[in-house]
Amino acid sequence: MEIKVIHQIMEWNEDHSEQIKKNLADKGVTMINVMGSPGAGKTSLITALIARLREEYKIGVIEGDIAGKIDAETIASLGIPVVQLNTDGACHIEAMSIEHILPDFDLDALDLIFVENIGNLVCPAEFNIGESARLAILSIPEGDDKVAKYPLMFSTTDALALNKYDMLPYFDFDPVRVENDARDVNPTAEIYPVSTRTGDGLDALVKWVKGILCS
Amino acid sequence: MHELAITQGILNFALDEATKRGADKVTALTVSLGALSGIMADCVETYFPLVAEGTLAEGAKLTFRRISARVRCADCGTESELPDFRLRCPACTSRKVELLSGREAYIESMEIEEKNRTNVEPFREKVPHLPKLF
Repeated sequence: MEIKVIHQIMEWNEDHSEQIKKNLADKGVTMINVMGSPGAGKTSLITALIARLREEYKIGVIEGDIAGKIDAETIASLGIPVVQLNTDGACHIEAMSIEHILPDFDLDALDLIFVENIGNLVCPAEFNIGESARLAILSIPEGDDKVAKYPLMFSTTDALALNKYDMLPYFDFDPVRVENDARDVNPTAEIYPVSTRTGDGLDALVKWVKGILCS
Repeated sequence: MHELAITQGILNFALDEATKRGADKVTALTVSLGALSGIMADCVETYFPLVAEGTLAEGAKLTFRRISARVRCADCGTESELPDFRLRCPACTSRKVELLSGREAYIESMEIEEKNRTNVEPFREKVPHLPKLF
C-alpha cells in the first residue's frame, strides 16, 4: 500500500535547531556558527574576535573537532569558557549535539557563543545548529576557485571573511573573482578581507558581529 | 559524507511511520531532492541498505525525484531553469532573481505492507481444550 507522507528530510535536525534558538533567545545569548576548511584560520579568527569583544561581551566557545582538544585548550588558555565537541569521525556538527552541550555553560552569564564547526567546506552547511548567524572563512592560500567549487557553504552564510589577506601578494588569488562568485550564489552576504596576523580588517568584522548581537 | 546522517534521518522517519501504522514492512520510499539541496541521491542510495539492515525497511526500494532549480527574473520577467548553483537569470544574467524551486528535500511517499490481521486466528480456536468460561 502506498501512502503519501511529505516529510521534510532535515526535520529531525531543524526541530532541535529551532528549540536551541528559542532557548538562547530566552537567555539573551547569540550564537555564531563559524565554518571553513581545515587551516583557514577559524580558531585564530575566533581568538582575534574574542580579544576585541571580551571587554564588552561575555563570550563562550564550542570547539567542534573530529578528535582531540587542541583548539579547546587554546581558547581555555584565554580564560574563556569552552567546551570541546568531538564528533568521533562525523564531518559536521548537528543541532542535537549542541543541545547536549549547552547545559555545560552558564547561559545567564553569556552574551555570545562562537561555535567552531568541523573543518570542512561541504557538510556543515547542511545543518542548522540554532545559530543566529553563519560566518564562513576562506583563506587566500586555499585559492580563489573555492566559492565556485563549494557553492552551498557560501550560499548559506551571512558573512564571508577572506582570511590571511596579507598573503595576497604571494598567491595568484583574484579577490574580484571570489566576490563575483560569492554574489552569484549569495547576493546579501557581507565580505570582509581580514588578517588575524596583522589585525587588518578585523574592526569591520567586529562591527558585523556587534550588529548580530544587537539584532 | 553528511548523507549518512541524512540517510539515517530518512530511515528513522520511515520506521516510525511504519510502526505507527502497524505495518510490518517498508517496501519502497520516494524521496524528492532539489538541485540546490546539496544532498546527493547516489550517496543516500549507497548508505540506505547499510543503515536499513535488520530493520522493517531492509530491502526497501528507493526512488528519487529530482526537482530542478527554477528562478523568476525581476528584470526581464523570464522564468527559467538554472544550469548550476549560480543565482543568475540564464536569459539576461541579472542577479535579481527569485528562487522558485530547487532547495527541496523531502520524503514524498512510502509503500508499506500492513500486517494482515485476518490471518491471525482467534486465541480460542488455537487452543481448543480451553474451557469455555464466557
